[in-house]
Amino acid sequence: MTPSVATLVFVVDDDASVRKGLGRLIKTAGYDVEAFASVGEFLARRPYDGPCCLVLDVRMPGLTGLDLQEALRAAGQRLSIVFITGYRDVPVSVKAMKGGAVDFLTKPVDEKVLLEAIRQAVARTQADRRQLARVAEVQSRIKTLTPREAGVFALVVTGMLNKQIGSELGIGEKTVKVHRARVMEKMRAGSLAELVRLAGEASVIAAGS
Amino acid sequence: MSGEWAVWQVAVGMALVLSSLLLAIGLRLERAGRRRAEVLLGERLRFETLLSEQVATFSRTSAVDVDREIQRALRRIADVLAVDRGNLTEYSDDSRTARVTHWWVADGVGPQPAALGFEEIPWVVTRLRRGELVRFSGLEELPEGDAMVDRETFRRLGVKSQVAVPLTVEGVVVGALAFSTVGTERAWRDELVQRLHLLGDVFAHALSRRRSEMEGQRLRQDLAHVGRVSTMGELTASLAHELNQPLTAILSNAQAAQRILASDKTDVAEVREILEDIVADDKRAGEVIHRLRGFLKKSNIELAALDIGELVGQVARLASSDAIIRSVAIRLELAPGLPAVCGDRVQLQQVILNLLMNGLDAMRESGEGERSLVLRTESGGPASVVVSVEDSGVGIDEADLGHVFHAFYTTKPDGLGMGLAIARSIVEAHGGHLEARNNPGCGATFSFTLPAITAAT
Repeated sequence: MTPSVATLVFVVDDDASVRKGLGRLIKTAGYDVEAFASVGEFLARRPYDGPCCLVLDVRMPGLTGLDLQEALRAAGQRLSIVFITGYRDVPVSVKAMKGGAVDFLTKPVDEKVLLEAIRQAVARTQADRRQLARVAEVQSRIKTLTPREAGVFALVVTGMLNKQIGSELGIGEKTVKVHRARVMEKMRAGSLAELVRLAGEASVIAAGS
Repeated sequence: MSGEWAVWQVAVGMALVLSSLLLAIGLRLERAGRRRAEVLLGERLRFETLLSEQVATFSRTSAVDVDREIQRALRRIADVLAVDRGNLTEYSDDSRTARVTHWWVADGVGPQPAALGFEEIPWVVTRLRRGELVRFSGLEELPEGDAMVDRETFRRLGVKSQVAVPLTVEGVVVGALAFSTVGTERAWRDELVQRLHLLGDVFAHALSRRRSEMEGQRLRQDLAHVGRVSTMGELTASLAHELNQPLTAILSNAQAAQRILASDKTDVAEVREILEDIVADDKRAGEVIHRLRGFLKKSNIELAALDIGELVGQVARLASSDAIIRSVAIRLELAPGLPAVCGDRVQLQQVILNLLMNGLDAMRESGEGERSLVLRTESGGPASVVVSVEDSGVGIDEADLGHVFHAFYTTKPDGLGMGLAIARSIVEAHGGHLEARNNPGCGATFSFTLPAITAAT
């Protein structure tokens, strides 16, 4: 199972030997590695668009691993994290997992465990990004709707009949049908079911009135 | 008629000669007696002087120097008494065994025999153990029946005369002081022997004082050791971490090397580099353990000239992982060019570590951005060095300021309360002084002085 050459694993740990050792191990599995001695150093690096994940120590002088997790979440960056720690720290591990980490490993970490976690993290980063892109795509489609079309769209996906939509919006049934067709076109939906799904993806909450 | 007068003349002459001879002899005897009296007086004076000097010396002798002083005293006494051998024997607590602990032997005389036990000199030992002194100028003075074994032993060893006084402390015979001649006999004058008995008491007290001081020192060391072990217990989390780093690196490196070797494009140079790193990390881990072991070892005091800045740095490193866990920034303010101090490295590290850990604890409740710990070394004058640990924690209750160094004072629910008491006793044993005060802002500062090694010391 050789991952693509462009897959990059970031390693952040304040101990030089650990960075070197982990880096070597991860490289032998076919990944590229970039190592950083602190959270600050890592944040200074430009985000990487290719497949990647982050192997992150928890306790470090300055910003901690949890701080970085928080910062990435706040910035909306989809980068999956595998935490590694030298301390047996249950509260921290719970916090990390709740924050969306892929795994929380303790040092010294075995290659099988680490590489499996990295594999999952890379996959998760990809999946998350695709999801994000998807949502953005759907939302961009929604943006192309006129206000009237948006209104019709919101009600169509609730299952209302054209007639009901018409009375709701104060327009004729025929007008509704026209708008509806336009919506289907712009949203590139082939059926009502698909339209509903798209709405769900974009987290469109049907307006009540 | 001239015949009779001649005889009378001769008789008178002879009487005159005889009487003048007698007078001469008498005078000479008197002079000799005076001289002998003078000699005796001189001898006695020397002994008295020696005795009073020894009493004075022993009263100021520290436990460490007692042995040397006893040695010196033995030699001087043996000199005054003109004997060939002198020794001090100590009895074990259960009186089963005796050990010659100090001895002096004149040049040309055979070596001091090992302690003669009950089997070899039963009569002598019995008397000594009863608190009675033993003296004889010739072996025939020893009672034939009871001291038969003793006589034989002394004959074998060539001992001609001996005086032995028991050493008693509070009614218990703890040993004996003995002087003997080999080859020639010697008389022992009563007053000399009495004085010897007195001297024996002085020795006995010096020895017992030495024993209790060493007992006290051992107890202090035991306590200090307990203190170190419990401090270490508090540090275990960070110690595990300190070991985990090199272990992690070693495992990852080794597994990387295995993978490289298993692949078809093995780079030997890289594997060699990996092995070098493994060895380096191995040593690093070993060093952490070694440092811990050194700290935890129940060691005797080893005095050395120490660089106090280096000591403080080492302790800061030891606790750095712990500080990180607690989000405390440790700052070192080490004055350059401080004179060395004389002390035991491990014990001083213990004091600094104890103060540091207390400082960390004091900041448990503080906000994460407000935790700072400063370790400072500075000059305390021409002949002293000051070490302080300043925290930004809760400070010390005014009411408690006077008690913090007392044994069993603790603010922790599971604390022993011994740390500061031990710290203070260590500092004082080094000739310094440990004190605490609250900072003008928040938190407290613990600082101690240590005498510096100057050119004069």
